[in-house]
Amino acid sequence: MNLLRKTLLYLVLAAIPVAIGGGWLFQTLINRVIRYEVDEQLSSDLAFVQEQLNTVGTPAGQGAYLLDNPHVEALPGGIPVAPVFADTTEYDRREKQLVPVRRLTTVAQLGQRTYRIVVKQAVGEFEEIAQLLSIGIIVSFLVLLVLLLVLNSWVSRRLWQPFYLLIDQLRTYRLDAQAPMTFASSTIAEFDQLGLTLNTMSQTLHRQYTSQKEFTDHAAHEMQTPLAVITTQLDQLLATEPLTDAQVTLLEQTQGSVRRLGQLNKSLLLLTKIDNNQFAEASPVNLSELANRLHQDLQPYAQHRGLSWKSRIAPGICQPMNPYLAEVLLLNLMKNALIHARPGTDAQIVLTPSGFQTINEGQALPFPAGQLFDRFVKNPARPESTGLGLALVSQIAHRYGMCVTHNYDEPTQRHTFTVLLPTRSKYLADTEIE
Amino acid sequence: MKILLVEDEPTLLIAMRQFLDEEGYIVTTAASFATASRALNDYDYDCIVVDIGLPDGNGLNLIRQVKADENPAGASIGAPGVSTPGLIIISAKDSLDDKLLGLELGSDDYLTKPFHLPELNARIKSVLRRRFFGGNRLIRHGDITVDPLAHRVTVREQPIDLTEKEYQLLLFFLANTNRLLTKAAIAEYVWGDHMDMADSHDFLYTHIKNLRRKLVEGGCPDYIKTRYGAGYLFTTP
Repeated sequence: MNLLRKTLLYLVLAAIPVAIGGGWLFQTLINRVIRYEVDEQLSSDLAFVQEQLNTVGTPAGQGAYLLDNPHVEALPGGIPVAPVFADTTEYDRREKQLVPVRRLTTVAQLGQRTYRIVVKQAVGEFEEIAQLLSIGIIVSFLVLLVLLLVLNSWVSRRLWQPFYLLIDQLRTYRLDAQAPMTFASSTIAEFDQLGLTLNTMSQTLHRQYTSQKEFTDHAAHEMQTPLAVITTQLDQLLATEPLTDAQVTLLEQTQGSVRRLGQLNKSLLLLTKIDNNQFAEASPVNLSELANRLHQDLQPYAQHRGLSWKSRIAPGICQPMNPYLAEVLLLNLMKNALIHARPGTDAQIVLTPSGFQTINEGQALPFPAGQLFDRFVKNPARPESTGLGLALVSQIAHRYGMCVTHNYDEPTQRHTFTVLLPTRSKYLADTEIE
Repeated sequence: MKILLVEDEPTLLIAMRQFLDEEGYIVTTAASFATASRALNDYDYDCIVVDIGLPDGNGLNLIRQVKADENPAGASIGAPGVSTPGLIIISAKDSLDDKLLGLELGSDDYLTKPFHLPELNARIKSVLRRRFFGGNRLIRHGDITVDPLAHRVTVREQPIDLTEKEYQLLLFFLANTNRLLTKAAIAEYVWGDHMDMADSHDFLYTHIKNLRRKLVEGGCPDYIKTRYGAGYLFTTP
């Protein structure tokens, strides 16, 4: 629920109890006032009747009014009773129905005689007025509420406009953009402050990011030269005579480690470059040709491992990608399949318009499947691996909106890696390539 | 053959120089852009090996300089008697952009650090062969003759059938005869990026065994010698 709706909701929620409570209060107040005025009138009527009985003897127009009002009755004797108000209904001759009536009854001793005096007032009309007033008030309140909501939403919309603008900008924020993002300023002090703070933050982040990127770049490159020196000198050392077997073994192991370091450095550099979006340019890459070539290149290795290295490659499949990254993507997946395939089994690659797949038989993953594409995750049985091959695959796939999945079929012990090409991955994300 | 080596890392420069001296080249070294630029002005070279990342300038500019000298305004391109030097870039950056730019500028090859010296040697030989003999010269070694242009290998005039990798392997051996080639160097040269596989040394062994068998079956002596476990030696007959 957005800010605007939330505000309106709270407003309505607050208005409902106010409306109910206010309505009740108003109704009570009106009724009280009417009752008070009617009672005052009745008391005055009574006083008038008593005055007339005192002076004239008979009240003017006794029973002449509707509802037998006023009603004066001489009593043979008795004690005076204080005036008593009562609500009742009486039959209205003219309206031919029962109408609500306020009645004042008293027994008074005037001179030598005792009278029972009743004065009445029909209150139906007053109640109607009270009702009308209440309805009027409620309707006005509702109209006012609606007006308030509309006004409030309009004002809020205007007031929060700069805020929404900032949110939109933040949503499109990219750390690896060429220049740091500039956030809009506003005439509202708070939002202006927010914009300024975001600007400072964005500039700091961008500066840090750039320097880190350059550092990684330089560090990795600087490392290559000493590696070249070590490689060369190890070669020279190995060429000296005489060397003992133990020395040769040591030197070879060192050489292996240096090579691994070089590989690691190269892969890390590549990952950093992909992270930094340094492979922006893309051209249509013919994946079919590429897959065929790599498949052929790896044939000797497959043969060496005693694998039957098969391929099913649909012709003419093109994908806009950086050619180098396309090669790294396919090559790493193929190498992964070949390295982990059990000797003497089938390993297969499949390329269809919807995606690329490698299938090989092998042992279950020695680590949780969720870590498969993480960096530096490798099979403990293969310490010489850099653990970056599949991380690169996942990074490249992610870069081009492809979806990489791994599936292990327990009974057949088959590992299947699937890369779904972006155009179709939306529709086929859950289905396997056939 | 005169070679100019431009590299700012002294240890590497000395090692390269020593290696190429032994190959019989006349080697000049330059450890900075300025020295290299001066050397290029003063002398002609048959092959120039340039590290791009020099502290006082970009090695690519040296290539531009060489190319500018080659085609001075008004001179006819490819005039007879003017031989253009071969150009090999070495770089710490495995960057496709640099590679493409280098090749565009007219360099012949691009080598990424770290590399093995026999590989540099093989590349220099190949560049020189292309530059000065149009790639036409046959490589002879005892009974073996390789025609690099036709991609054909004959032993005692009889063609033998080698796989692509075996052919590469043979070329590498022939470029570095009588030198110990470590397994790592051979693997790097023949398989390059594909070589981070686990059992590369067994793999290599299989290929060398096959090459050796084919050569011996063709009737030539067994030139390939194993030295301890350190590597292989392709001996002169």
